[in-house]
This record gives sequence, C-alpha cells and structure tokens, in this order.
Amino acid sequence: MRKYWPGWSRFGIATGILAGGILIALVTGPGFADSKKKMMVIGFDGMDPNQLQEHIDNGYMPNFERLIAKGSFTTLGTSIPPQSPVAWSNFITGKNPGGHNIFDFIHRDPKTYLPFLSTSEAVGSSKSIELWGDWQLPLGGGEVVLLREGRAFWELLENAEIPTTVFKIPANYPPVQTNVRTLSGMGTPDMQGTPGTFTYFTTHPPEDADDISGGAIVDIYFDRDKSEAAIPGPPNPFDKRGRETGANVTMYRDKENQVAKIVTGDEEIVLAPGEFSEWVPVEFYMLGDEGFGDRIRPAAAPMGFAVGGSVRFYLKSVYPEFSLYVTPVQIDPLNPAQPVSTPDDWSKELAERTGRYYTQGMPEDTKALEGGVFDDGEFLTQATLVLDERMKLFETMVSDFAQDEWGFLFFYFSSLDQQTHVMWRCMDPKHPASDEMARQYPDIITNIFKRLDKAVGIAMERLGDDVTLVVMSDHGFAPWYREVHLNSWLADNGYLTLKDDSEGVRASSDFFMNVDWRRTKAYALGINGLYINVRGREKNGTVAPGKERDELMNELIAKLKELRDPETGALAIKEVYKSEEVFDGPYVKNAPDMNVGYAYSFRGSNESALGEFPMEWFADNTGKWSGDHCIAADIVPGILISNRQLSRQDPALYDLTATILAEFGVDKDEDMIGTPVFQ
Amino acid sequence: MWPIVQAFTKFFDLLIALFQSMHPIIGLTVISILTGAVMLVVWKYTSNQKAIAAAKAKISAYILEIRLFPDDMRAQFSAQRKALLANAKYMTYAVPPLLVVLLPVVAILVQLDVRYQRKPLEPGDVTLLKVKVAEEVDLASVTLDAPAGLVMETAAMRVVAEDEVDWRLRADTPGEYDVTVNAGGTVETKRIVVGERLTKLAEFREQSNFLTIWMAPAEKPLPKGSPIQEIRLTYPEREMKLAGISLHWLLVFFVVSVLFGFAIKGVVGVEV
Repeated sequence: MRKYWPGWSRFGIATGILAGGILIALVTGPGFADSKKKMMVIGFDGMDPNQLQEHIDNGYMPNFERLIAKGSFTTLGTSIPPQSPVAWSNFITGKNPGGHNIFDFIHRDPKTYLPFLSTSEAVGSSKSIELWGDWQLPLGGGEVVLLREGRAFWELLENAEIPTTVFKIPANYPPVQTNVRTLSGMGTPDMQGTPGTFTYFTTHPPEDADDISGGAIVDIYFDRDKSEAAIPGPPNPFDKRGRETGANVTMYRDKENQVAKIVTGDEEIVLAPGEFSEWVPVEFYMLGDEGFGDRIRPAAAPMGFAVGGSVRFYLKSVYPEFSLYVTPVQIDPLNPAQPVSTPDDWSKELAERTGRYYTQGMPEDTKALEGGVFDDGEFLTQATLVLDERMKLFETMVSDFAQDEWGFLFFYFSSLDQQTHVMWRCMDPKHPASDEMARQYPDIITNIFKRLDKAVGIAMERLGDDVTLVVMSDHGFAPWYREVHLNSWLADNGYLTLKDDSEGVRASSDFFMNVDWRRTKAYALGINGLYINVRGREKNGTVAPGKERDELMNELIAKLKELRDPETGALAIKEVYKSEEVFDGPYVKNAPDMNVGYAYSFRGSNESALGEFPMEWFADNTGKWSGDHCIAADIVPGILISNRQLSRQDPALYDLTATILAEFGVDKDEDMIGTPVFQ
Repeated sequence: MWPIVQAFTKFFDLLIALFQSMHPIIGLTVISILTGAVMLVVWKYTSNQKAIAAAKAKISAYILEIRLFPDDMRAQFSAQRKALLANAKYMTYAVPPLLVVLLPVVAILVQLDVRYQRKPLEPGDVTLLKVKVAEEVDLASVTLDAPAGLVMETAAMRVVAEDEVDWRLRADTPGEYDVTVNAGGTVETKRIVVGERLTKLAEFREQSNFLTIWMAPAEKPLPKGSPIQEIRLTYPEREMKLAGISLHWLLVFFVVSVLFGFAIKGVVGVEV
C-alpha cells in the first residue's frame, strides 16, 4: 500500500479533503439537516379534547390510546375567533390573523359595508367584444384569487427540497402555486362558484322553496312518465346577461316498480328510492338555446365550448311525488375546469387511482339538511359517502407515504366538524332542536370518532414508530343552545340606528340595508366580528379614531360582558378581544375592532352575522345547526397528540407550524410566531 | 352467413386463447404481424406488380428531374405534372388490391374490436341492461332472469316513452352468464362476461341483418321480426398500457402491421 501513497499528489489529497468538506456541508446544511425524516400530520377538523377523552374512557378509541401511550396528548390553542378558516390559516402560516389576513368566514368592505367571503375572491374577465343578440366574446378568462397572506409552511419545505404532500387543507383555494402536491380544501367552490349549491328536482316543491339557501329547487312535471330539466351550472361568459348554463337531464319513472332512470349526456343511471348514484360526469355547453328556467342549455345538437363537472344523484321518491337530489356540481378531478391541485394534474392522478371524489371544500351537504331536502337519515347517508371516499383516499396516500424514504404528509378530515355541527342535537336531549327523529341517531358522533380512530390505526400500522405522527384539530366543539342577535342589541342600546325600526321593516331587512350609517357607532358582521364605524375608514364613519374609538370599545366590552340571557340569567359573552391586543402583523388594520367570544352554549346568530335585526336579542336555536365552536377561544381548544414527547403543555396552532419546520431543520420565516413543541 | 362469421370468430377465439395468460398487447402484436404478412402476400398476388414498379420508377425519375433542373421552370413544371400523373396511375394500380385487402382487414378489425375495445365486468361493477321491444309489446310483460353470479339491483324500469325496460345489474362472481329476457312469451338470452379474461364481448344483440351479422360477431343476432328489438349493456373500456403509456389497440394494430409489412416487403419481393 505504502508504495502507492506517493502516487497521490498533494493536489489529489487537497481535492479529497475539499470534496469531503462539501459533502459534510451538504448533509449538515439547512436543506438537508434532517432530510431523511418522515412526518405525518392528520388534521381532524373540530375534534374536541373533552369529547375525545370521553370516547377514550369508554374504550372506543384503542388506536388513539396506543398513540397517546407512545407519546403525548394535550390541548392545542385555537385561533381567535375559533373559526376553521382562521384556525387553519394560523396553522398554514405560523402566524395569527394579523399576519395572514383571515379574521372570520366573512369580511366586510368598509366602503360599502357589504360582506364577502374572506378566503378567496373571483375576478371575472373585465373586457369582452359584443356580438349579436345576447352573445359576447369574453377577452380573458377571469381568475380566483386567494386572499390569505403569508407563506404556507409547505413553501418553506419545498425550498428545502423536502418531498411534501398536503391533502385538502382548508383556506388554500386556489392552491398556492408550488411544486408540492396539494389538493385544495375548505373554500374550494362548486362549478357555480358557490360553497356548494345542490339541485332538487321535485314535483312537490316545499312551500318555503325560495327561502332555502344553498340549493336550487326545480319544480318539474312528468308527461308519459318522462320529465326534462337542466342542472344549473356555471355562469355563461358568452352570455351578456351572465345567465347560468345548464346540463340537460331527462328523468323517467316507473310508478309501479318505484324506480327511476336518469339520463344526462351519455350517462344513464337507474336508481331505487334511497339510493345514491356513483359520480356522473356532466357537461355545460356555452352555446345553445335558452332552456329550462331561463338557463342556457345545449341545443338539439350541442355546440362546442363545454365545461365539465361531476355530480351524484340521490333518488328520494318516485311516486306519487318524484324527488331527485343532485349534489353541487363538483369541479371534476379528472378534468378540472379550474385548478384544485398542484401540480394541476395531481387531482386527476388521484382520481384515476381512487375514482372521482368531492372537490368541493365542505362536501357534507348541511344545507340540504337545513333546508329540509334531506332528513337526518339521508344526511347521514350522504355524509357517510363523504367519509368513505375520504378514507379511501387516506389509505391510498398513507400507503404511498409508507413507501417513501422521507418527507412530509398532511391529511385532512372534515367529517367530524360538519356532522357535529348539525347532529349535536342527536346526542343532546337538552338541545332545543332535539326532536324524535334526532333522538333516533344518538351514536352518530361516536361512530365518527370510531372511524377516525381506525384512520389513526391505519397510519400507525403502515408507517411504524420511526415516523413522527401528529394528530391535531383546529378547535373543539360546544353545544349551541341560544342565538344572540348582537346587532339587535346594538340597535336597541343606541350604538346602531335603523332607518325604520318598525317591526315589519326591521324583521325583514338584511345585509344592513336598513341601517342609518350616519347615526351608527358600531355594528356586528360575521359570526364574531364587532366593528366600530370609524371615521375615515368606513364610508360613513362616525367615531373618531384614537381616544373616542378606544373609549367606545371599552364601553361596549364592559356592557357585553354583563349581557345576560333573560331566560336563564346566564352570561352570554365570556370575553371580548380587542384585535390590536391579540393580533400581530401588518393586517391588523383589516381586522374587526373586536372579536366576541361567546360563552358556552351561546353563539352569534346567522341573522346578525349578515346584517339582519330580529326584534329580540336572544332566541332558542331550533335549527339543525346545533353544535358550534365560534365562541370564546379558551372554551374550544383543539387537540394535539403525537408519538413524540412534548416539551410544553400549552401549544397553539402556530407552534405546530414551527414544529414541522424544525423537524426538518428548516428555518421559519422571521414573522412566524410559533416555537417548536417536541422535546 | 352466420355460420361463416361463427367459424371466423371461432378461429380468432383459438388464436387469442394462445395468448390468454399474457399481456393483451402481446397477442395483439402477433396478430398484427400475421395480418401484415398475410396482407402483403395478398397484395402481391392481387396487384399488377410490374405496373406498380414501373409507376414508382417513373415517379422517382420525375422527382430526380425536379432536383436536377431547379433553374429551368419549364422542366420543373413538366416534371411535376408528369410525377402527379404517374402518381395517379400508381394509385389506380393500388385500388384493386386495396379493395381485396379491405374486406378481410375489416373482418379482422371487427374481431379485434370485440376483444380489445372493452373488457369484461369486474366483480362489483354495475351495468345497465336495456331491452328495447316493439311498440305493441306490453312493457309489464317483459321480465329478466339473471343467474347466480349476477345480481339484479333494481326492479324493472319501464321507460314507456322509449318502449324500453332497463335493469341495473351488479357483477358478483367471475364467469360467463346468460341472462334471459322474456317479452310476452318471446324468450332471448344475452351473454354477460365477468372476470379478467381476454374474450369476445358483445355489448348488444340487435335484429339480424347483413351488417349486424358481420359487425357484431360476438353473439348471434336476434331473429328478424322478434318483438325483442335489442338487448344492450355497457362494458368498461379496456385500457392498454405499455411502459405507463396508454395505447389504443387500433393504433398498435396499424403501426405494427404496416411496419412489419414494409420491413419484409423486400424479403418477400413485393412492390407496394
């Protein structure tokens, strides 16, 4: 050996040392520090720590028990207010709302006082060439803009070249443009651009059909047991009046045998009452004739410019009354008309493996239940389809991740949140909305807990102990017994002036149309937001910024914290948070001045949230939406469970963001406020 | 006519059976090669080989003229005109053998289509069985019997406006099944295949005529004048993938048969 040493030139030795140094630098540098780690986070929207503990104590959650035994279980501080888009944005950005600009489901335009959805905004094509008749040629396609600010944590992982997959995380529509595999979640619209609008074809429309929100009730009739109609689709950009497109659907019924046949395009389905179809592709043609309900529908020979979507049909009844529910038209994952994933074709890749799936942000059709189109059993059937579909995707993705050498996977479940919202009354006989039908389903929530326990078991089994597994939720849950009409309280206490306070006008006006802004000091908008009508900020502001505003806020906080329910004498509001005290970051200026933290079992009413003024301040909540979490943040923390030991017991959502980045040795952005929680 | 079609179909059954355990593309490739070879030989004996060779030689000569005299416009135009005429002549010589080749190729394509375009139902798959009947048939009299292995998921859906009765069927276990349709005493069957086998599939049985006999060889046509006019179901599309790329069977057939024909035309001594 020795004789070869002289053959090594000094240059060669120096080169070797240099190469070794580069290699060491590479493997210890920021991008590769802990590059071979694997971490999975499972997000169970709305999993409440108390409910979870109760289910564990009852022996329903063996996999959760095993996971906790390996590591730790604590509550996870939620956002103020504890609303899903806000909470998940805290997690995504590692900031509080002052840093990511999402303060509520609903924000307001201070120049018009009109509400708008907080997470995204659709911007249509502004220019077009006028053609003959009702036709125009749009120049440009319009776009949807994500209003959430701040970098998503997976952008930082991507920069460090960590293989990352993020499935259905809320408040990420349109998906942030990265090379990371992401599928957009809550906030993803249907093809009509709404959070989800079902169609209900029926020969017997309900009397309050016009009042049903979240759905189109279509009155149909049969001739020789055949009926033709159209499923409402996206607005037609070629139509000057912006009318909706429609997908033709022909319905046949066999009255005697109680079956129906549905035909749309080349698809034919036969259903018996109580059955859902599989996913069916539908097409909306932009050029055609004026059809049912003033919609553009294909002419006898449909002409081009079609966009596709997908639906499932549910046959409620055939005869004597025919009723057919159609899911909101989904952006078809196999052929998305708008991007729902990054890379663009990842939604297709997934669908080719698992079949089509709901792309709509919140697929459980709570609107159909609230509108009386579904009864409890039918809603449960639909919600179970959603969970079945999600479990299939979960198993596929966990199995794939198990094969990966390293990387990060986030997977989101919506079922517990959505079903607890509308089914709380089933397990709570004290609830004002608990009725005989609801009491038939006392175990609904428990059954979901059990199924989610199975998901945890699958992840533990397939990933093994070497993978860092985190199970978390964005917030917990509480019953919602009593509605608080906060705007009515403001009006009756002189903080808000109505143009016409007579009962008929007051009770029927909405969207603040009846408000005399020049004589209004404060108004509530959104579920928790309380705004001061600040001069120079609001169009008709009356309160001077600075001392006058501060004094008014203090006065309101003092009074609201003393607000008692006349029926029980209980305090309705636990805390009122001043935004400048609880938020940090450049967007605090856009926040409501205050956030109302309702007490346990209270919540701001939907009417008040959208600028209506019922005569009373309080009312029993008799609606299906019977559980909620938009109350004081400390009442409804989320959960944090891991197979790793925690270094502290009071983590918040943004700490989990810092934890993920730290796990992979990735530096967090300077304005991220969390700190890692693992030992 | 039907016995001839049946014999031809049987021949393909035997041929395909040789490749049953292999990737579908292997059998398709072999059949495409054989077709290419056979058609080349047929071409040889049904075409005027000397005339084709002469026409091709003339075309080559005129193209050479075009290249040799690029600056002589008269020569250019003259050579182009003559090349086109020679080409037309070549096409004329090609028509008779093309016509001869066309019929067997179409027959082969039909046989391949009933095997490669669709695949059998898999257990759990759902399909709609549709029976069209004559206007005078009482739809209430139309019934369906499905053997074990297939599950009738719905009662009969009588579509009055279309003189049609539909059933939703679910494939349960692999096998080849005959469902029995009875329309007012007239009984017919329809074959439904469940499983993974590469086999001939008939999506419909229509009343007999020349076209249906040749174009739908997988199952015997319905007798003329039967009150049952059509029995139809849908099989899933077969997707053939090679190295992750989706290939349509027709593309594979044409590319392989044409390439093979061109590759061996020198060996066989055929002017194409």
